[in-house]
Amino acid sequence: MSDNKKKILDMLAKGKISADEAYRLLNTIDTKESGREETRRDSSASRESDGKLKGKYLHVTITPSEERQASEHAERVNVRVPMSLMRAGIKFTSLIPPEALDKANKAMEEKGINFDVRNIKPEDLESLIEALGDTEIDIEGSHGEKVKVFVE
Amino acid sequence: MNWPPMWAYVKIKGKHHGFRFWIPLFLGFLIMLAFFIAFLPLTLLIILILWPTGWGRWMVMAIKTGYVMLCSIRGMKVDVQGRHETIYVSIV
Repeated sequence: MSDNKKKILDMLAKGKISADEAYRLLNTIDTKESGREETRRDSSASRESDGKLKGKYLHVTITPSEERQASEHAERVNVRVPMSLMRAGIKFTSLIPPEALDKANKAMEEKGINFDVRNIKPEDLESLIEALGDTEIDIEGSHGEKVKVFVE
Repeated sequence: MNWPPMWAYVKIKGKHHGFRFWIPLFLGFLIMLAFFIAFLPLTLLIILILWPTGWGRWMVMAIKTGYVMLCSIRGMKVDVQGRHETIYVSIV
């Protein structure tokens, strides 16, 4: 029970305020507290969603197996790519001339893929990049090496 | 406004030796900027001539996108450790 509520109940017990006034005051406190709770939840949710939407870097890491990790000669790869570079790369695809897109469609059709590259819109690719924020890929190889792809 | 990366840090370590150095990318950009300013009137003329065909707009978009891509490289890190060699590149 909050301090304010205790004070109200004390005042009611001492007869300083009536039951109606105590009821109104307690309701006001409850409304204020629930409003503050919602604001806190909303701001943390937007922070979380902002963090997911605006993941800054795409990480690709390859770590050796536990047995080889102790070795000085273990092979490791750690690549960090800014997400803004991926977005800029997507904008670059809009510069591809229509004739090149036709050739790409034709080549895919010959391989049995009936997909029109022109149907891919920048908004769709932006949604794909945002979804990458939730994506985590973990692969363990046959020799114990681990491949991880994630956005941070 | 986004700025292009200013420095690149490169560290190469072999079996018996290694070295590390900073590359001042901003110097290269200054030279590129000088060339850009020098060729700006010609570029604008070409864009104006090609504008009715649609290629002029394409040139403007290509220049803008190229600059945005260049600015986006900042923050990139590549760290590869092989059996006997290590290569580390960081763009800041």
